[in-house]
Parts: sequence; structure tokens; C-alpha cells
Amino acid sequence: MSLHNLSSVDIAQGISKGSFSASEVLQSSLDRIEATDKKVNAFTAKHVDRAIQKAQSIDALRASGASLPPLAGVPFAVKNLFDVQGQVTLAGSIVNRDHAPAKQDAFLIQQMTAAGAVLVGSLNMDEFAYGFTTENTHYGPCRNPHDTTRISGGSSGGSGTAVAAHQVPLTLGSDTNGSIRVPASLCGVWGLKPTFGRLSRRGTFPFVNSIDHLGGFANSLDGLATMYDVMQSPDALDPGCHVKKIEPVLPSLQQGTQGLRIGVLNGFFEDNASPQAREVVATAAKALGVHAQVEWPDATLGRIAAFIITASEGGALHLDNLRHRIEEMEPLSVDRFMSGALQPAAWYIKAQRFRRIYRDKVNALFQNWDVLLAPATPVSAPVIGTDWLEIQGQTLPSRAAMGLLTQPISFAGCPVVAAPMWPSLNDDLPLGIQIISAPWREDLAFRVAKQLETLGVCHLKKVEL
Amino acid sequence: MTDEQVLQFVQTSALALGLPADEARIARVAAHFKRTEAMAQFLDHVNCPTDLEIAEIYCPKQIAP
Repeated sequence: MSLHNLSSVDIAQGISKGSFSASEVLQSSLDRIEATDKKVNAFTAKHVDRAIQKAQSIDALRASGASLPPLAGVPFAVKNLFDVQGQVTLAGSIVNRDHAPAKQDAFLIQQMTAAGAVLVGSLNMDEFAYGFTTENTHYGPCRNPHDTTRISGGSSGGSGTAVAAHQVPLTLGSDTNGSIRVPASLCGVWGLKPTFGRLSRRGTFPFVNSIDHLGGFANSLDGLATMYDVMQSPDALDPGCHVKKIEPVLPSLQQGTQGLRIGVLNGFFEDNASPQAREVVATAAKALGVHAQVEWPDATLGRIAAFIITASEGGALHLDNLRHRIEEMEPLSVDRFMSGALQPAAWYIKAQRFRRIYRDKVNALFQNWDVLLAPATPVSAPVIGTDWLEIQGQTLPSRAAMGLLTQPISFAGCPVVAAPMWPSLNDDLPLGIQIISAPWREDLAFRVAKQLETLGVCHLKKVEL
Repeated sequence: MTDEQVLQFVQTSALALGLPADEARIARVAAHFKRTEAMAQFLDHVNCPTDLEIAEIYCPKQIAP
């Protein structure tokens, strides 16, 4: 049996039943990483000693007859902006190498570990999360497992790739403007960007405090839901964590879509989508019996405001690096950081004021709809090094354009499940959809995702590496 | 702003913030800045009422009872 192909749910059940041990699962994952990572470059560090210790503790727990936690023995890995105790948090950079090692794990790693999951390593990303491609100059580009000449998306590129390459069934990432949904789409795996403020960001290296979200990737929807449920917790020590209680999605996952008001986003989300991107949304809508077309309010302005806030906060955060270590920064993003640092305060403040109007308009939209569908990326994965894209007759800078369709959604803070799909014209390259619900209603997006998985519309594909 | 004005703004602002201001970098940054300026103009046309506050960031910490 190839243990590295199993979902997290199958792994946890198999260990619980005694079909295999946590140590065997871990070894299978480490072997798979060893065999494939030279081809895809997902991992920047492996945490073998602590992983062996954790797997042995799970096996000892089972031997004692105690009941096992929900992710017992499931290997996972994290974008390298998550603090890992004893390791330096790189955030994709070389300038951070001078930082002291982290004193403790990031909050979400603590939650995963408490649920029995086994941390095996840290993953490649765009420097300081400013990018959608993970063409990291310092650590090398992360490569798409479905075609290693192509990008994996970013900025959580290693997180998407590690799941698609069957190295681990679960990974964690961050998403400011699309950095979970873009790699999930391009790598053909499940992704979740929860509501802004849902999951604690404590112990992660920030990019844009007022828009940063954390979330995850999985090779099965059940695994994504389980991971999300165990990561939820109020956290008084993170001023950006707004939840007061845990709202699990697993209990309602199988409820189906009856009674849900589902629509397809048109306008901006069609105008900036390739024929393949339109096709996957049409396929999902047809499977769900959905015909309604819905216009998202002020999508262009939402994207612009998110762009300005991102550049401004990102530039300000790295002002010292720009002053003193600019030559050591990522050439693909350093000029954008500097431009952001120079933006007039009036632009930033206008964008933050507009965000309040925008939030109210988006919330008003969800008075009439429960779930909305849109492509996650305008196109499938471009070849590494692509500078320009043609989308619907427009020539757009490739690295920014990959986030065109995700940016307006996250700016409103809405939760999104990114679902893996496979356009018929695409030679086995994936292109995912966004399943979007109102803020704090992750459960509804998960129910629609489950229906699409059950209907066989959304699924992973095996890769040959 | 004209290209020349953007270039000048970027150069002067870079100096004010103590950022490197070599010619080649300033030209590249100015290209990014000009694209952002064009976008900011769209946002500038949005009417925001005087009492519209920015989206929440700060929240005072409660004193433990």
C-alpha cells in the first residue's frame, strides 16, 4: 500500500485501527519527499527529529489503549513564515537568516500538533509573501507537480506543491490577496482561506496586517474540514483574531445544497477569465443546477484598494530592509516594496475608508445569496519566467494578474474553499474554482464543496514524478 | 503626473525616507509607482462621506476585572 497517497482521514483511521503505525506513515512521507523534492523544490527544511519523536508518541498512545486525536499521525508541513520552535523563520528571504530561532511553534502548529498531526518540514514561498508565483530567487522556483516547467502559484507555492506531489496530505499557508487560492488552483488541490479574523495569526511573519489570513491545503475535502476545525480557537493574544467560539464545519458537511441560494459571479470575474476558467465554473454550476448570474459590487475598486494597502503596509514593514539590505532582497518584488513605501498616506487612508463601504456592499449581497462561484485564477499555470499574460485581449503582467480574481474577495474578508478542477482543453493542467460564502459562514462553502466532490466534479489527480 | 514628475517624486521621497536612490532603481520603482498612481485615481473618485471612518484596525485592550 502506498501510504503517501492516502488522505489525512484514511491515515488517522488506519493508525487507529492498527493497519499501519504513525512511524510507518512518517517514513513513507519522508521517502516521498526524498524521491520527489529535487523535481518540485517544495521544502526548504525538514524537521525529521521532532517528526520521529511525535510519530513515536502517537504509536505509544495507541499502544496504551487511549483514544487518538482526530489527526493522529498525519504528516503536515508549513509555509516557512510559520514559527517552528528552534528554527529561524525565513519568510522566503535571506535577510531573515540573521533572526533568532523561534522560541515556540506558531499557534496553528500548536493546534495541529495537539490534534496529533506530525510536522515534517517548512515550505518554499515568495519572499515575504509578495508574489503569486513562488519563483523565489534565493531558494529556487517551486515547480508545479503536474508540469515541472510551470509555476506552482504563490505565495504559498510550496504548500500547494507538497500536497499535489503527495509528499504530505496537509499543509498550512497564508493568503493576503490570493496566496492560498492561487496555488490551490494551479496545483489542483483543496484550499481554504477562512474569514478574515477567524484563525489566529500568532507566531507567523506578517505581510499586510490588515488583510493577512492563514489557512490550509489538503488532498481531500474531509481532511481540509478536519484541519480547519482543529485549528479554530479564540486567541486573546492575537489582536487580529476576532472569534469568540469555535464553529466546526464537519457536523454539517454532508447536509447537501438543498435550500442554498447559489449564484455565479459575472462581470469582472468573466471579463478577466480565460475560456478554461469560464469552463470550470460553468461545469460546477451545471452540476449544481445553478443558473443565476450575480454581480459582485465594486470588484475593480476592491482590487485597487487591496493593491494599495498591500503595497503601503508591505513597504512600511520592510523599510529597514529597503534602507540597509536592499541588494539581498528578492529582485522580483523589491521594487514593488519600495514603490509601496513611497505611496502618499492619502491613498492608503482612502483605501481603508473605502473598505468599510465595500464591506457593507458585500454583506448586502449576501442577504440574497448563500454561496457564489468564481474561477480562482484567470488561467492555468504559466511556464516559469513568464512576464506577460494575454487574458481576453488584454496584456497583463503575469505575476500580478494571477491574483486578479482572488483579491476582491479576500478584501471583503469572505471565506473561500478553493476546489480542484480540470478544464477539458488543458492537457491535464488544473484550474480551480472559488466557492465563496458570507463572512463567518465557512460551513456553507464547505457544504457546496462536498456536493461537488460527491458528484465527482472536484477532485485531485495523481502525478508522475 | 507626467513621467518626469513621477521620477522626481520617487527620487525625492526615496531621499526623505533614506532609501537607495541610484538611477536605475529609481527608474524601475517609478514605473511601478506610475501604475499605482493610475489605480489610485479611480479610488480618488469614490465619494466618502466625512464621517466614514477607516476599516477597524485598533481595538483597546480590556482591563482584566
